[in-house]
Amino acid sequence: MQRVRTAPPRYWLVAVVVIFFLGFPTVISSFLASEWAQALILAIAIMGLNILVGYSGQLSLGHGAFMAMGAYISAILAHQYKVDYLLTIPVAALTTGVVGFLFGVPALRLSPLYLALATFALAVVSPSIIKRPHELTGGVQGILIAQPDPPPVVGDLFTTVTGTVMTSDQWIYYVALACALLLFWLAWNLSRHRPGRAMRAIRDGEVAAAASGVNVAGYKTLAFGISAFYAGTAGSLFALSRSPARCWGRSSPTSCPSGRTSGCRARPGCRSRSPPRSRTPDRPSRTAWS
Amino acid sequence: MTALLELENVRAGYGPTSVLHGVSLEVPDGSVVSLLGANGAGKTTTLRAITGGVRWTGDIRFAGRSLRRSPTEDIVRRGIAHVPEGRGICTELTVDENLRLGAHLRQDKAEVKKDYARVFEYFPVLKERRRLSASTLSGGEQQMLALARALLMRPRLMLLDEPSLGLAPMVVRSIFEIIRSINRTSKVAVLLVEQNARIALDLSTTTYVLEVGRVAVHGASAELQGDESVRRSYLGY
Amino acid sequence: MQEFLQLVVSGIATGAIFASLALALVLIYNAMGLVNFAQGEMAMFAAFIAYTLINHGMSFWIAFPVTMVLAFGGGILIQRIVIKPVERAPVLTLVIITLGLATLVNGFAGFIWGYVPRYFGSPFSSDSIDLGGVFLNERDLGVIGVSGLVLLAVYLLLQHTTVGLTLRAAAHHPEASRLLGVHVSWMLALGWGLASAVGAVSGMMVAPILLLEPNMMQTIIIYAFAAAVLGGIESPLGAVVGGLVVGVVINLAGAYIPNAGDLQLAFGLGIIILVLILKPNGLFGRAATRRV
Ligand SMILES: Nc1ncnc2c1ncn2[C@@H]1O[C@H](COP(=O)(O)OP(=O)(O)OP(=O)(O)O)[C@@H](O)[C@H]1O
Ligand SMILES: [Mg+2]
Repeated sequence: MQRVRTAPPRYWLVAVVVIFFLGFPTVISSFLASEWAQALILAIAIMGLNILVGYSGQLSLGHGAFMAMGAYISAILAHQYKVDYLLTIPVAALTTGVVGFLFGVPALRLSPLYLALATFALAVVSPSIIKRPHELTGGVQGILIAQPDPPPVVGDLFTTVTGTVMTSDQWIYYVALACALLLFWLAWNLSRHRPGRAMRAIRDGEVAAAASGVNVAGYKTLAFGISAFYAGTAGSLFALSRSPARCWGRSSPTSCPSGRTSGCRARPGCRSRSPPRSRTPDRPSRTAWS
Repeated sequence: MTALLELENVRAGYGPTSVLHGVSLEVPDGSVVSLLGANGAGKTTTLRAITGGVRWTGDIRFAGRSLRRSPTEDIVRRGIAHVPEGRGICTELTVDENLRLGAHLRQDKAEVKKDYARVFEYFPVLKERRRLSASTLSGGEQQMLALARALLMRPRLMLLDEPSLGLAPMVVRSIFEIIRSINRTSKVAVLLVEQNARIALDLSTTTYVLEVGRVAVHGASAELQGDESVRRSYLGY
Repeated sequence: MQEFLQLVVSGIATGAIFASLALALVLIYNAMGLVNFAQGEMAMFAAFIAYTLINHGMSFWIAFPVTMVLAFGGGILIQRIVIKPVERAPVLTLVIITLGLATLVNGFAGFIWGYVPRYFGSPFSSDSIDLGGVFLNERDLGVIGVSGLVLLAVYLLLQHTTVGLTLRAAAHHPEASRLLGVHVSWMLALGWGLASAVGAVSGMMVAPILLLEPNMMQTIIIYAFAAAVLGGIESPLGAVVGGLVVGVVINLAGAYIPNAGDLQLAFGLGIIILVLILKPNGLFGRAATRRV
């Protein structure tokens, strides 16, 4: 086995990066800030996917489904139950994480190829499952939530520092940044300690890992849970980060000006695998099984 | 006698590890040559080099033409039947399908039919089990199937990698009798890799002994058999 | 009872379509231990080719074999150009590559033909035949007949020809086959071509039922996965039986479970997951050996 050598952490570099990420939304347009927020959100999802695929060696093609789950939990809580949107993020993340953990148990029994196949099917099927309880999820229309404005305390602080008013895009950016940093720190620690080593050992050879006393089943399931936790966080932020103003009045939520197919709402099919493939049920078809 | 197969200073290996360090040997047309040596000496690798299973340098000529850069399939089509270590039986297929695979390149249907009859004469058990999956055969029966399949290819040269491996002494004797008779009746040359030196020396006219990738001794089998010191130091009996 | 029988027959027709696509998946799985996630998109592309041919005045019954031949060539080309260079890559890498291929083919079809659904005329009349009170749709019977013939042809090719024999040998025992003079690499290409042609049949059969558009096969491939997994993924016979079972189950569920419409796809997923967990070798698969 190879010894993992780690360079001494360069804290000054970390500080520079953090300050950069903190500072630069103040000098770019609000629109760009929201684009960067999207990038951070995807980064969170990818960090999660990396824990699953890169560390534990299980390929999931259905992570969009976990993201969708996080998004819907947040949207439903914020819209129907008027829960504070910041609170919905940990709720969505934890719930998705638990579901992911539970999903990881049957996934243990699947060969890598079968796991890819099953998660692929999950990705394709999830929109039709999501739109089913339409009182809850808004069916094909999805749920429309307003992008939150910064709380007064934060807004005032921002104004005193920069002299400008904080937009909701900038606020979402900072929320996403905070989540990304926190989750990055978590993943970093995970990778350097026992769980990370155990997962890498599993990826490199399950039988050998089991022989050297690694709890293979436990860590593989854990990887699924953690990965889903990340996806749930990303999905939740994704649901909160879409300003309705941008596509407001357009007939179809799939035609945003930026050409993005993901709507401004939590919508079935949205970001679960490849967006242009989402089907709308109003498409004429003569058989029931389409 | 002209050499059917000639290896000239062949070097080969697997990735960074080199296994053969310049092997030269000849198999005359219609003869039986045995290749002996300790475990890991490079016998299997030599056979693999001949049919293009490993990369090699030097030269290998079959019937006067070099085999350099020919893919395995084409080498085999020129008339070399290689029964590999582990027999290479297609266990997903039936016994009959395995045999058909051996003959699948041949156009001379009438001759194929005769060869089938001959093969079933040698190995009656294969006829009984024609329709069964090859995976149901015992180890010895699989060895018979591998030999039968090689025969159906109508080769000019057969490369046999330890045909006696894992077989009962009785079966070994009968298999070697069959190899001898194949060689006599159809003039097929045989390059025989064996652990069982005594029986291989008996069967072959010429013998090469490999030691860590080099030919240590070679000569007429009868002479080597008589040479006490060779027997002691290389053949271990 | 009559309604039930009618549902079963139309379920078999649906299942025959799934079976063709599932068989295509199985052929490639056997050849290289890989599930081809692009199989559905390849079938869709073939359906578009048939559509174009028919639009240029060709009759369906000529366009059908012509498309199969073109699909066969296309499958071989894809194997040579896309798959062969990465043949030795780990299977998950190959999975990602076929996913990329799926996206590529989908986008390419969209680029050429657009995403507006098109009407693809059925070669069969929509009359019903009265069989003692059970009304059978001619379209269903036609689909069953055509798919059945194609599946039979594939069976005969694989089991009763020398090419089929070498194809199977190369798929299961590449090393041993090479020593018997089988051109293994070309056999793999042939396998891709065959799979592509068989898949094309499902595309051409489904296009008149759904409407033709680049995403047409996206749900069908899920049912085909379910069928292949149910049949044990490496068994051609299993794929066919699995396809029929999935077709009938989906049809009956759609009819007898209230408001099941949208959830039929979820049944497909359910079948996949249940089979994988309860009986990973499917109905016809051999017990898998675990490789270390
Ligand atoms: N596929 C391979 N990859 C790397 N090294 C190999 C491989 N096959 C064989 N070797 C090495 O090459 C050397 C010669 O092996 P080879 O199989 O030719 O021996 P052999 O003479 O046939 O032995 P045996 O009598 O045990 O069959 C051995 O040291 C072995 O470790
Ligand atoms: Mg050997």
